[in-house]
Amino acid sequence: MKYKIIFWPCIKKLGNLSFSIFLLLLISGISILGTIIEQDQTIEYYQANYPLDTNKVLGIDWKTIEFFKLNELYSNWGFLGLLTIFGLSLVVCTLSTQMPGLKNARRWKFKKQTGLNDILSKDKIPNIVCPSSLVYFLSQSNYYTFHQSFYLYSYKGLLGRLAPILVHISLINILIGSLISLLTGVSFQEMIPEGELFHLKNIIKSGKLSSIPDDFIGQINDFNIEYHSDGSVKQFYSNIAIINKKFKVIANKTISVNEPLYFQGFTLYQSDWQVNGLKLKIGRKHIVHVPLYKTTNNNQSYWIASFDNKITLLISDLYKPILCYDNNGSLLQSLNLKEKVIVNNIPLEIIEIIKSTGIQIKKDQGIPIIYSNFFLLMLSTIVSYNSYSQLWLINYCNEIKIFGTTNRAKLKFEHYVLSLKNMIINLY
Amino acid sequence: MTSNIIENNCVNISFALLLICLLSYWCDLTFPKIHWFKYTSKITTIIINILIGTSLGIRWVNMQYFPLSNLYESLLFLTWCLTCIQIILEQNTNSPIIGSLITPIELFIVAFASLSLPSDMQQASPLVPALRSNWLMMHVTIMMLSYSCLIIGSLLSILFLIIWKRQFKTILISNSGGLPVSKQTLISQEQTKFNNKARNKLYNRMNILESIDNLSYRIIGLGFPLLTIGIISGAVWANEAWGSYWSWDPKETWALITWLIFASYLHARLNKLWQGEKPAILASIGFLIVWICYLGVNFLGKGLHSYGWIP
Repeated sequence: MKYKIIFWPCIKKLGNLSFSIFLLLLISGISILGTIIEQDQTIEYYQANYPLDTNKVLGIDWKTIEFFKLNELYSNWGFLGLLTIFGLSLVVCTLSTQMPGLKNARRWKFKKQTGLNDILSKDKIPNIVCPSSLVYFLSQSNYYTFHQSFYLYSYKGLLGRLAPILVHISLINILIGSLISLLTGVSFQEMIPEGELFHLKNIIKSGKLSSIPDDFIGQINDFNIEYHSDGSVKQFYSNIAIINKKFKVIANKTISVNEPLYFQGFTLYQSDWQVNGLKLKIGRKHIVHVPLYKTTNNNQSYWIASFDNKITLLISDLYKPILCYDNNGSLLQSLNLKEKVIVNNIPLEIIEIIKSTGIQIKKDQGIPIIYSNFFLLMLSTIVSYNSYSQLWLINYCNEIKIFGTTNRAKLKFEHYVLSLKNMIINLY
Repeated sequence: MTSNIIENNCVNISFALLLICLLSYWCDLTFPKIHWFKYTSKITTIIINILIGTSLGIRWVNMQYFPLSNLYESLLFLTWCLTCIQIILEQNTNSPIIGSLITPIELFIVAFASLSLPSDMQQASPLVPALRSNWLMMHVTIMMLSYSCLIIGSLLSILFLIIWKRQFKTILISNSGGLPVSKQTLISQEQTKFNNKARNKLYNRMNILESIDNLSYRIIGLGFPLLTIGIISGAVWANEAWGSYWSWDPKETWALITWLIFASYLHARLNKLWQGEKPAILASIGFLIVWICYLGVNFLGKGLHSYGWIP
């Protein structure tokens, strides 16, 4: 009994409208804090930027950040707890306010008195109209009408009462879907050289209940980069084959950014790429692998390789000639792939540029729930603007009194009441 | 005459016309009986809309993608959206108040885009791989439309608060109205269908505060579902491109904050105890939040949505 006394007021409070508004604003405030304080940085970073002196930024020092876990704000228990309370608030509000409201909205309500506070429109018209005519007029405007002796009751826009429930349900389900993603989702990031097989090894994120498959085998058949005329990257393409244990190809697709490969719950994304090195043929038979080092100048990437301490090779684009420099930085020659040349009396042939493609592999069981509820949320948000209107017509002292109420578009509703009155007067 | 010159001229002319438009709106507010100002401002707004639309259209044809890839293009598109909504609202309300509120914002945006942004940021450049998607048009256009609606709705709420503070609570739009606003002001043209007696009844009932508040609510009511669709389409696109529908990127987070602020505004409107001033304060905060979300985050130079420019 004691628990009931404490428990029920708390549950009721969760469904309270003012509390919901406060909760929305609190989540906003904490989210703002998360954009001001840099997230997921090292402790040294916070010690340097939020020192323990008097000139504190926002009155916050690194110890406060560490204590309240403000460096991982969106994943700490406080914020997740707040989202849980938000979810519970949605559930309570839906069950205690909106569901009964919908149930009540479907009932007929004959009003016998006219002294109402919630009357939006009140008008008198001469009592010369038979009820069936009024019912017809109202049904033309999609009103559900109930008639009983001298009283007429109409309502329309029940969807406007149902839609907020669907909005809440979709938000609850999105939170549930996110929780499923958090618990069962798993992500891998692999950097695979062209032509190589790969397994799922490099885990970047995994949920507590996630399972890691050991029989997943893929192969990168080809990796290409498409360039714009100005030399900037247009698109990356990786041809991926998924192979079974018998080394038979069971799925194949050329993926690119925005065009992933979907396979048995896995999604393979084109994420990154790198140039590893050059395969050179020196002389007639001597083949060497020369590593490449990346450098950036004016937002343009370059790869540099040096060998024999005499020659430096520079690549700016995978499909442009490779520039060859000596120790003094003088341009000796520009080389194309498979082209045999003599540089500094050394017979040289660049067989290939060894490049790797970055593939992100993800399995997320929460996605179907999230996507379907995204759709429901969009639909129900739009439908929720449908107004729920009620009309009462009372035969009162040789006059018909029209009065009504609506939850939205009050001016439009007044227009309707006036037009209803005018139509009746014009008709009779 | 190259397409670049035509495009620049369109923007420059629209800037000049915005100045003329602003003056004519303010004159219309001051001298409501001189109808010439009303027509001038209406026609000028339509011309501005066409000019900015032409400028964006030229870019679209030249670059073969919808011009929303950099800050300059998105600022122009925002102005185009604002002028579109302004034209529609004016058609429905027949009031100079809306134009005189929105035009300074449009003027500021065009001035900022044309004068403050470096010339290399105004140039159209090829799309990076992540933006090469049909989602670009879907997500960004809806977000910009929602920002436009929310900016206008919030501006009206700020106006509501200003009038509220000055305690013009009982000024009615009637034949003897206390403000220099024509009889038609802020009342839908649909009312002309009704007889004089009924019309006067409505005019007397609707005061300025109520009509501004109602209009603000209706516009925010349009902007909120658009923002919802925009955030959702962005999440779906992010999942298609990066494998994560939500990564707490600063822009994403601020879009969520904007959504939460306006969700609390719409909930506050349902609360009987929160009528009038309190929801308007929330919407006014929303005005600031929208601008931080749209511009502020980009200038931090952080995150997946950053245009990488610090003024």
